[in-house]
Amino acid sequence: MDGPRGRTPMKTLLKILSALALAVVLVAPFLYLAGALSMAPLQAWLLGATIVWFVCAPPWLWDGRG
Amino acid sequence: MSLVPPSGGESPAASHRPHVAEEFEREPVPPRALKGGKSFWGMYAGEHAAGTEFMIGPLFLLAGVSLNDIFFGLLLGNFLAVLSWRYLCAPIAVHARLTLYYQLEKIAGTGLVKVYNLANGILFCFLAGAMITVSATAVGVPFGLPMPSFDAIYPESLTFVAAVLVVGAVIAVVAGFGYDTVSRFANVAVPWMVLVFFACGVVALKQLGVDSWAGLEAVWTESIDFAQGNGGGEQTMGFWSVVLFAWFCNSAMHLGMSDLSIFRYAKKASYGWATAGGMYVGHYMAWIAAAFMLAAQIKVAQSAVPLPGPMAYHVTGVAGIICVIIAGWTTANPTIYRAGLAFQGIFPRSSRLSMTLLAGAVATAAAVFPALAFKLLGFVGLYGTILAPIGGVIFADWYLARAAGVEQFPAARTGEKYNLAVLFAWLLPVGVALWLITVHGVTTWYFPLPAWIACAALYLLFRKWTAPAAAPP
Repeated sequence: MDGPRGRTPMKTLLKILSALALAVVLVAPFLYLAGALSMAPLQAWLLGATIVWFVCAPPWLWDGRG
Repeated sequence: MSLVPPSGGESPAASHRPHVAEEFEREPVPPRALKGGKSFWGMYAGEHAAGTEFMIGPLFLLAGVSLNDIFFGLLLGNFLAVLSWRYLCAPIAVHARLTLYYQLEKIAGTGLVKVYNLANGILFCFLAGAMITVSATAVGVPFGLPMPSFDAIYPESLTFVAAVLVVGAVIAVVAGFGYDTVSRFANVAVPWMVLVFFACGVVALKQLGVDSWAGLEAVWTESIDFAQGNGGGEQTMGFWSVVLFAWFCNSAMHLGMSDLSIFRYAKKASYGWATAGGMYVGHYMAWIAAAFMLAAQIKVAQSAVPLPGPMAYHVTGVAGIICVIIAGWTTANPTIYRAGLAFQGIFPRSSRLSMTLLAGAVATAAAVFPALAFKLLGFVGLYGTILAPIGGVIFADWYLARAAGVEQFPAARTGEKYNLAVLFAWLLPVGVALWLITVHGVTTWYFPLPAWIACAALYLLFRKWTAPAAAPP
């Protein structure tokens, strides 16, 4: 079911998850810097965010127009 | 360093340059095809997050660059690079709206453009080779492969050579068959990649265990002392050397006018400011982050060998390894593709696929030698020294030719294939620079600007001597 300007709920969900993945990559190192996260969980969060990004971003970013 | 090569005449878009430069190869870009400013900001920011950024930052530390010099030298040098794009390259691009290759062909002739293509193609292969080496250091981490030492010129282990050959073969084959797919994949990876670069720097900073600028300076100096006493570089780079490197590492693109092919799509010359996105993301944040990674590695593991794969793994784990591989792969891919196109321009009857595979083979052979990556600063300067001066000819032809009584676009008017004024104006300063570099050991990145100025002046001089005067404007 297309929403406004051809957006689908699935595409919107993928965009939100992609943004969350980037947010994790951005925030996790600062949590490590502040001592709120140790090295192993930090690296696990980064890997998890990486997987989420590469699963969720291609469907809406592949054509380069987002 | 953005080692994504410039967009050429016959070439399609580079990675991160997806919707640019695929057409209008022999005509001005029409108004309907012009792009908005936003796409240039994104394109440059992504393009300069390359695998080689992981090498260049650490090489500054090994060269003894002080903390103040790296922060403020890069700030100034990158600004000068942005100014060069904005005020030298972009204004010509938005008026002529031609590719570098076509504009150069109108000045230098079809034959001489092939010579330029050859130089471009060979240098692209070596650049791609450095990227393959960078990726191979990351591929080697999970397999526990022995890594090359910093002073290694020749390969030291068969397993690392095997890793290079596999990585190089995959990149070359993909460049030959699936270029567009990798280009699109690169566009997807860029936002994540830039943030992983940043994460590497933040995590490394924590590992350095400092809480003040003075503390960071002390640890930085200790890292330099350790590196230079443990197989690191002995050369020291001062403030101005850092400034000049940052300014000229992409001089082939701005002084050398390769990015005419990109900015011909810009509505206004002010889009040249968009290059700041690339400079301050890739050549500032990423270089400093990578330098911090080496400092952290020295502190934690007592190793000053700047291998991107292991360095990234120590701070960001598997995500770091993936980042190094993707950053190297997505930039080596278009580099090899463009080297193939450059060779195809020389041998028009050959297929694009065979020339791309040839370029990939040359790049892979070069990648086997770790010195190529470890001497990247010098090579990048050499790249600019050889290619940037030709941009001086374009500048002189565009702005100064009429005032000097020289015809504009002479080869287009006379049909000559080799404009000897261009050839000798290019070869003389480059020859002198190469002599000073190889015989006297002068630093390579000192030469792009002097050679560019000399090339522009010599072109006007030689052309005035050898050709009839231009008609008055």
